[in-house]
Amino acid sequence: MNKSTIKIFLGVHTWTGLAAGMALFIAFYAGSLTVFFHELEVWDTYHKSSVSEHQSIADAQRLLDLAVENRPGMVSNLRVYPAETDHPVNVVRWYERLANGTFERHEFRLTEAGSLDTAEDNAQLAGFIYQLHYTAGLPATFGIYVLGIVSLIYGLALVTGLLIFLPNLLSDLFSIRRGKNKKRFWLDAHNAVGVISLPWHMMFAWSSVVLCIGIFTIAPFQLLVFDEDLLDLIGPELGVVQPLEPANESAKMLPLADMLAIAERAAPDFSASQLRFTNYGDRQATVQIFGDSNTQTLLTRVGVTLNGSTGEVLAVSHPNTSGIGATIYNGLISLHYVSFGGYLVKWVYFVLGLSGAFLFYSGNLLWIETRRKRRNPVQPATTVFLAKLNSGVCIGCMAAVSAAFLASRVLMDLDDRGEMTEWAYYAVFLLAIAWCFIRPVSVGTRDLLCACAVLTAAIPVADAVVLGMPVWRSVALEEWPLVCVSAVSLVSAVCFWQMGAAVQKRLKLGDANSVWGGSEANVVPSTLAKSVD
Amino acid sequence: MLIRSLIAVVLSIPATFAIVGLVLVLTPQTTNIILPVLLLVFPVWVTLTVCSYLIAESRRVAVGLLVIAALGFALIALLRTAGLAVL
Repeated sequence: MNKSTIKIFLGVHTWTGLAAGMALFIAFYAGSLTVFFHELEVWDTYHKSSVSEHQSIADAQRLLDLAVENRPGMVSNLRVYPAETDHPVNVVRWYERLANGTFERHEFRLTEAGSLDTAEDNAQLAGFIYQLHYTAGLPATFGIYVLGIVSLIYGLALVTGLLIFLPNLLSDLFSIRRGKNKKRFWLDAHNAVGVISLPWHMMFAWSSVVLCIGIFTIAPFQLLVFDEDLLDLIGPELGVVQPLEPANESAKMLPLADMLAIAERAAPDFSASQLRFTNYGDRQATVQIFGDSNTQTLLTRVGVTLNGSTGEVLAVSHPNTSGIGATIYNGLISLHYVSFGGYLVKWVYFVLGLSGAFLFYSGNLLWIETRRKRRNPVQPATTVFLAKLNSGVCIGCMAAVSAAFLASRVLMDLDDRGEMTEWAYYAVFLLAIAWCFIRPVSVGTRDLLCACAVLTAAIPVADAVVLGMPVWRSVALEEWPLVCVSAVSLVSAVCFWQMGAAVQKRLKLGDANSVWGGSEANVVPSTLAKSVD
Repeated sequence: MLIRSLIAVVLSIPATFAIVGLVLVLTPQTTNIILPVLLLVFPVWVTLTVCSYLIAESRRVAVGLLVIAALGFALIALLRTAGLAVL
């Protein structure tokens, strides 16, 4: 590849990185935490789950009967989540279809006295972090589509990045050159992280496009190629089963225990985690039972569809019997959601997620360093603007996530805890961006890193004060989700503080002709910068 | 770079649908490979977009991508009209 071609790809890599980098930073930072979604739920509901015993399937049956009696219109979009190790309480959820076509969620639980509890669960932290992962904090549907387009650009950035680095792959891959030339250091680190984790990033770009805008990538083929409904063609392979037409005759439903027994006979070694009812109470009611099977492969998801009244098995979807299409599709999705491999793989994903976030942050730093005016204390306005935005969005997101953790713990007894958690995130995030634009780049960045350190270190303190669970007590009681959140928080707080100290050091001792020099002059517009040049 | 990138990114989209659509038309439905072929949209789009930067002139890139799209759509229509589509 000649130099002019590499230069063109460098240009493409630059604009794609700038266009997608910050949204991807938020997606990767939140995604690395979402790897431990269930553990975060346990952390968030610790004060509740600690007083509840593991409920039985008989309790789930009683809960369902009471919930249906309480809301007679609850026949479809009805789900039962039997108690599992990480959530010892049975839950019934009903997504009521409203007149405007949207859905309202209702939750039902059984109290320890055996009565129906219709209060919504106020622990929303894990769900909120997950939502940040796929929307980057933008309004839900719009955010998903934006992230889908960002993922397309991300794919382009990955391939062009590899092509640029390819000629020096062997000589430069493992060399991180620390020295006066900060650009060299950031470039080496950026290349090493990017190339080593490239296959993982390619998988993420591909699966994210499928998950976020997959419908738009297959819809044109409906018009172009297929006469019959495309979803009817691929649906059965993916285990999608159309519910039975309702007979409009009421019938007694099989007990939950019997349904689960039938499902386990149809798919041996199957552990159910969810039952979805359509036309509950009808002779033609459909029940879809989903769960996992220990297949010792990437694919574990199993689905069994039954007639809820007669128990007749309508369909079974199992990794051992699925076709090539379902295997490839489900394999890609499984790789994305890390639904395999246990905790070791989860921690690997956690580290890779954080290193991915570093990749996007360092990419923007490289752009800033490349455009640095080495003989001029006044830097171009575009460089200063990106430096401020990069610090505000990326470091602000990390501070805001820590603030959300803190708010969720401190406000755990409030009914609107979920909303308050979101408010805490957005307030800190927007304040961080505003602070970076008010202060010089290096000062703003240093302040935000220190704020990150303080907010993150406060999480284990809040556990100790609010829950009465200091780290040593959590260790003694083997409450591992609490221990892990505290340990990761403390390590992160130290890292944030160290990074803040490094920025402070550069502010005091580093080259003044840089956005990191701390000079108020670096807010001067580019026209003035050019004239000074 | 802006115009060149716009041409590469946007015009690669119809060309991608034309190529993948052609593969789908020639794919027997019984082989259960419709889903894997549909998943090819992303890699094909990335490949086409990256390759389009290898051509120096933006106009040639635009013409090339439009010709791929037009030929692909025409072939799909022809195969379906002639009853030669495997679907």
